[in-house]
Amino acid sequence: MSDDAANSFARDLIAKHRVIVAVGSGGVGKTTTSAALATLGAKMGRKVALISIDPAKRLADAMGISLGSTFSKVEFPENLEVSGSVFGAMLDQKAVFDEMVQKWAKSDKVREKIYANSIYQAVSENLGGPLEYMALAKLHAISEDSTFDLIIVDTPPDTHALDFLDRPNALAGFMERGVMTWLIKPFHIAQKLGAGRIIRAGGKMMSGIAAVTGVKMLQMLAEFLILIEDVIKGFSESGKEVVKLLHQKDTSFALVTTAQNSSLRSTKMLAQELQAKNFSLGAVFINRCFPEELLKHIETALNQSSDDTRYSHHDLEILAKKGYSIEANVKSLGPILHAHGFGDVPVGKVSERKENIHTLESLARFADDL
Amino acid sequence: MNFLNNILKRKVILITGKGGIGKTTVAAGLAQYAAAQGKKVCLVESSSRDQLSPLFGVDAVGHNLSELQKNIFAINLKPAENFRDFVTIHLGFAKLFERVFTKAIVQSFIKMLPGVAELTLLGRLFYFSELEKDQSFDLIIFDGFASGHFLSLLKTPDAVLNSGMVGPIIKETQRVRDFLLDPQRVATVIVTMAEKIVMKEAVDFAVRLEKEVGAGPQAVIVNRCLPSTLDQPSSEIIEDNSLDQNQAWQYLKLRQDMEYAAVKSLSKALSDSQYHSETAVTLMPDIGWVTEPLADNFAETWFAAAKEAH
Repeated sequence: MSDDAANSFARDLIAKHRVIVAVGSGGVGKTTTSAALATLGAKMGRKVALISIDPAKRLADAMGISLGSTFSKVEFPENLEVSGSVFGAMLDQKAVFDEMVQKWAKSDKVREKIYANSIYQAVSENLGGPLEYMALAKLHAISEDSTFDLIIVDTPPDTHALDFLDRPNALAGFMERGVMTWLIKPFHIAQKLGAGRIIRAGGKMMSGIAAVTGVKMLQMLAEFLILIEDVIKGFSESGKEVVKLLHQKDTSFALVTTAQNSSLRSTKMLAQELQAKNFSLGAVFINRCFPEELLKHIETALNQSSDDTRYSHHDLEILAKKGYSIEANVKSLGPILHAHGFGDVPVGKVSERKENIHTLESLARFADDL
Repeated sequence: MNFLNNILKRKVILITGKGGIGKTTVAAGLAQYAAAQGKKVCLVESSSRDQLSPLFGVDAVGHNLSELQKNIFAINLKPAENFRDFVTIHLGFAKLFERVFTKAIVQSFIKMLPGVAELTLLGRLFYFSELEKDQSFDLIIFDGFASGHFLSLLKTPDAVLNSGMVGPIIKETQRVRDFLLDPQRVATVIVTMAEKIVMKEAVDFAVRLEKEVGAGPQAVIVNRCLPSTLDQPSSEIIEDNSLDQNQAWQYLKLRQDMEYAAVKSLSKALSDSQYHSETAVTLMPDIGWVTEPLADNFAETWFAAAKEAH
């Protein structure tokens, strides 16, 4: 599709929504598609916020976005005729974590204690998982800035599908079930008082947990959790707001996939989960499709003989096999979407590109093709 | 195949690389190859949807160790069940688990603890390799996470050990870590493809693995090379304008040129990096499409067509 196909479905998706969340399994081009949607939005005159998680940092380099939690403006060359703007943030775990502590910690003293805590340092810098909270926390923060017309959110590569959307619930569960009140605080006090036995209700359970973790580990964890209790509360509150935001009328999910069997299996599961969680699906992008004209050329070439030994028919046969299989699998997507109540959702095929997306020009071309 | 013989001597193979690069196919291929040699193999993944079992004609096995074919077992490890198995089977606290860890309040607590999912996953890999008595597997193949996620998985033990905590879990973590970082027993394999930028990322990733975890890859697999690239992996790019009558030939030529250049740059980058001069680089042919279930001779054919790059 070209630039002047003004009613292309990607444009339509952007026109109708303020928040677009890209989901899909790993390696399907989700980050690139998010960046392309943001670029397209800017071409349509919008002021766009792009929240991205790009482990490869390649796209960050191309877009000139510095890593971290602050938004920086993407400088498009003039010839690309971008009338709007894109402000991108490449989430860096530690920076966003520190920012959350900055925002929610009760006092300067607590904040400094948290930064100095050894568990905090390990968690904020090294462990996987928290990045998932981060995209949501950042989405909440930026959605409150009404100067942004469009917010595009790239999500973590799916290993556990939409689990990341349940993170706020895990936090809320932690607060609401009274883990702090009934387990952690009594234990902490008992330990402080030097009471050999752990007191009352939480006691039995805490000594049970201690049998597995060791008392020292629990002491450290308890101390850490008490320190960050307010931060967890803040996280949990903003998480709830995000879940609301994700259900708003002007929020839509965009499913990104390829035609590979494994991607389609993940896509089926994601569609199922989106339906179960009552989210709206605005578009499906099938990346790395085989260019139709190329398949025709391959068919022609297969019927030609070549004296050139460097170019084998074997190569062509492999490409043809790929092309036909992709076509067949693309057709199978319709029924999958239909089965989950998404039969009307527009599906766009995006052709494989031999050029890698690593310049703003190539990104803009990709955006035009959406 | 040198690299195959070398890699298959290990007890655990961890497969990683960029998303969508063919990790699962490589994992399944290695399993089939090893099983054909009489090894008892366990394929492990941890994902929302089973990706390994469909390659052997079984829709899903989930968190249940299942024999898919003779000598090929599979399991899709789920975090909550991993924690349970780690505490009950691995650490031997079955009764305690029932009494304490099934309580909602304790589950809410455990869910909040960072790194638990990663630690128990690594613990289970160790368990399948070293402690599992009923099956006694010869080889565990982990169809691992994509690069960034894989790195943080392997960094978790050190993060926990460095936080100053002590206790049974920590003690066990030390044992799991020592095992995973033993290159005689565990090998990491990076899967990549012959595109310059993708390869540069793979080399950067290899260096980070070595620097930050101490587990640099023992092999790099360059997946999806054109068969004709494999036939002449060392040939120079020839300027040739006679092929412009059909775009299919042009496409092939472009891809060949690109692949030659990329493979060349990979070998150079690896030998330049002080860490990976010894890493084996193997080029694997593009097979166009992975047909499910895999044919019985899939791995044999595929690996027979592979070439070592120098």
